[in-house]
Amino acid sequence: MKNRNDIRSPVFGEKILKCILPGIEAESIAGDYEEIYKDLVLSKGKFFAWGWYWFQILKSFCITISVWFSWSCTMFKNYLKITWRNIKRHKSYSIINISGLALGIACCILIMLWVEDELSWDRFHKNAENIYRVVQKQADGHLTPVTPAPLAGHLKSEYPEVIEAARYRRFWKLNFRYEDKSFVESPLVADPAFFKIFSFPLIEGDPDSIFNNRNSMVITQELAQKFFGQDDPVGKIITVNNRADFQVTGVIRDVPPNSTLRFNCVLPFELLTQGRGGAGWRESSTWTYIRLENNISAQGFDEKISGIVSSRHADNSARLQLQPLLNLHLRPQGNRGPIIYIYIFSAMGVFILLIACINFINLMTARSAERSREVGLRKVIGAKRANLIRQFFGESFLYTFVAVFVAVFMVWLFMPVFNNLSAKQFSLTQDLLGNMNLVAGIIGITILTGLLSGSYPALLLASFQPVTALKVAKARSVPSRSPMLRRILVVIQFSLSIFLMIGTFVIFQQLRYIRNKDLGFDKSYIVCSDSGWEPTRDIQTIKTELQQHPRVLNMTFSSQKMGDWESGARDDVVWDGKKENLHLTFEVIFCDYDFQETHSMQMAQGRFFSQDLASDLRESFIINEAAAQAMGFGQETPVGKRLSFWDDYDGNIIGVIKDFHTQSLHNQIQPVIMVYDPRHFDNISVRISSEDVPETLAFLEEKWQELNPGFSLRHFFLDENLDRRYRAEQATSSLMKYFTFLAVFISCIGLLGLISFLTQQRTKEIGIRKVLGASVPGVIQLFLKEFVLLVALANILAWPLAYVSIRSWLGNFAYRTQVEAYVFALAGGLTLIIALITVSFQAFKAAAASPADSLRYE
Amino acid sequence: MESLSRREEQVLLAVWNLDNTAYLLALKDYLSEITGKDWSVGIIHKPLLQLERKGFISFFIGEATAKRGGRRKKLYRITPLGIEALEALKSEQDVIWKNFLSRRVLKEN
Repeated sequence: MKNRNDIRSPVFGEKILKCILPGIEAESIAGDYEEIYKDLVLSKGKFFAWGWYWFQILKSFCITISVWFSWSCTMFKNYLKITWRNIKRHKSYSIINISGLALGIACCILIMLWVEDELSWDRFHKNAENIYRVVQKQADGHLTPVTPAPLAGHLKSEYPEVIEAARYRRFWKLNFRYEDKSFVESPLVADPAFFKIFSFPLIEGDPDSIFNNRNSMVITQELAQKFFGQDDPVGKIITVNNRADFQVTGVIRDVPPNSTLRFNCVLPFELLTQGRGGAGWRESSTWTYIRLENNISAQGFDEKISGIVSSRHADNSARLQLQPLLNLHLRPQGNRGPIIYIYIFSAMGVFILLIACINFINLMTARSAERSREVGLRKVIGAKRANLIRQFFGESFLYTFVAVFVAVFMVWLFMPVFNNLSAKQFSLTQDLLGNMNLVAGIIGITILTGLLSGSYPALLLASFQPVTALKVAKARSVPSRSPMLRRILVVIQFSLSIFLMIGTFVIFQQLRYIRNKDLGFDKSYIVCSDSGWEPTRDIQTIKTELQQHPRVLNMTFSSQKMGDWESGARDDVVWDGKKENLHLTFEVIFCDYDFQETHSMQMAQGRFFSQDLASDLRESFIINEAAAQAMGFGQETPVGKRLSFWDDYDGNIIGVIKDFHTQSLHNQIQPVIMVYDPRHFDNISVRISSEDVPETLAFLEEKWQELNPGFSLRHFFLDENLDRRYRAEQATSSLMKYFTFLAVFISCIGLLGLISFLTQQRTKEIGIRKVLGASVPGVIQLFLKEFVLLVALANILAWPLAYVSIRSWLGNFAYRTQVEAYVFALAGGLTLIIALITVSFQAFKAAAASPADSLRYE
Repeated sequence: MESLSRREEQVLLAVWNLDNTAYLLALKDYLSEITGKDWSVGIIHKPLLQLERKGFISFFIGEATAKRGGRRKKLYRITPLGIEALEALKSEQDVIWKNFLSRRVLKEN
């Protein structure tokens, strides 16, 4: 038989007992259990004893949990009841508290939606992390997205890390016709590997053979719908520009809105090389994308490929570099770009939430005096500090929960307005509640807000001494440290509001500056169209026919429309007196002889192209001032100097045109070469009179149809089109405007709550002052003084911060407005006035009350 | 003074009887032996808590023994208040029992 002393009860069970029971209880019970355990082992066997032991542990554990739970529920019910009574008793404060929080949270949710959407760009591609665009980094750090056409094939064949490489290029506008339906589209021409790198799901067609022959064509569902309706699109023949036939071999799902690549149809890349041989390694005009192996670092690969182009073509100093696909939307140029709006908006969200939390803290601490007796009583009955902290945190969480529900409702209510402002398509159920990230974000906001807003009130209230809290008859004389903290919080709140206000002002100023800046040409009343025309039609005839109309003032052709020259960088330009190491990229503009006149541009030196001189056609060039400067002519005139590029352009510079903006004002004016060469014309610009515009437009359309059957004139106004480049800024700035307004509004309702509470607390004091002869203005002044000082202090804090931030934002623009001092004064003055109105409203009510009433109060 | 339930009375008397050796298991054995029924630990524990709350018993910490794996015992001891309560109960019961018995004697006759 086993020795009794050798038997030991399970050690782990005892540990559980020790967790449940206090000190000696656990030890003695464990001892008792062990004695019984030993008896049982000896009498009924080890297995039975073991079962009995664990059954006991389990039983006590269950009982402990249920007891703890039932008491928690009881206490929680009590907390809920007290909170609810407090909410009901102080309706106006509760409304201020909850609505402030709800507004803040609603703003945060909307900002999260926006940020999440911006960050989601291009993530729908299956291998998004491993897809890179190959770009050329110029000597000045600028990233040019275009690369030579042979690069993709070279990368694929020479580097095993590259799984796929594809190039694409946007083709000029083509007219597509199927039976009686025709559309103008600007297709992509791309390699077959394009669909292996990117995940544009093929709905119909065989993925392996989409581009098997030169006349294949892949279109989107949308286009297929337009052309063929319900019919099966695969195998249908579409006529392009009345000349070539293409067969639809595949249909892809529509390109999602958050894709940087946008297209409706794709044609084989060979289409591009059919006409012209292509400049090989010398011309950079195609986009190259590669997909790398999973574990290859882009940096390491950069080093391997950086010299590929410059080693083949000495004039090109640019280094190749990989740019992650996921950076294209937010960081198209290194770290600059729209990413700044992500930062701005995230900061705004945090600021607004902070302001709302400060409201909560201020109102709760202001009311803490009232709660002190409750705290005292709870402590006397036996509540510990931890219980009280838990209670007040619970209270702030309850407020936050209610606020979150109200906020989600608000979001639902304002969703259409928000979509309108941000130019996006969000829906509550799909984008907000259907997105796990955002749901997690909302839960995070709830917890953060609850903790943040509950922290100080909970700690403050829980620290009250029951003796003082209960002894003092009227709770307001409980000494507390809150006024100083309250002042600091009000200052922080208003600093944030002023900061946001100044930021919004400056963003608006900058946008106005951009819109009104002299671009070097007159953009008003220019109608543009890039919808193409009958290829056999002589453009001179079109011109004379259209200009018959008295309100058509002028008309010109060009290779691309104003503001779109962002791609045609040429770096193989050679000129007289070119320094050996000088590498420049030029924009080349092919334009008509009346281009300058139509756009009201000014010449700096020399003359513009003339229709009458045969030598002007392709053999004369005009450069802009920026080019003259960059090419190193200095004081010397460039007119008469020889210049050549590609293989087919060689001639003299005949004039220097004054700088004009071809790109958005984010960028510096680039060197430009203008060539008179109708072969590349793709776009028309018509200057019309400001009178009776609709009639003129109707005439243009009608005449266009007549001259070019099958081609409709899709026109737009140049100024509107140029403004569209700042759409990101415009959308963000109008959003900012509203968020700033809300931030100021939330600060003010907090201030309103605070001041109404303070006046109520000092009702008696005001009464006595008035009895002793104080005037109404005197009493108002009493309240104003403090708040005016606080807001003034907030200004002083906010100004330098705002200055630094807006300077860094303006750094995004090459051409920027001055930061004017009056903006700061304006923001400061505005907040001061708003604060004054808020405070005096309540203060006046308190001061105007009859002392007889206020002294009878209680 | 608070009154005693039947079970509390039994446990309190057991504590008094065991005299400084009364801990949970000793009480269990003692009561099982006296009543001839098997008392579980839980059934003794509850009255013990009540008695402690009412101030009829107090506890002290005993020596550690190898029998219990080196753990100390929680030993119970009756307080003067507890003795008072037992005495009060006894005198009260004496009256009741007396009447009961005399009636039975009468009835039998």
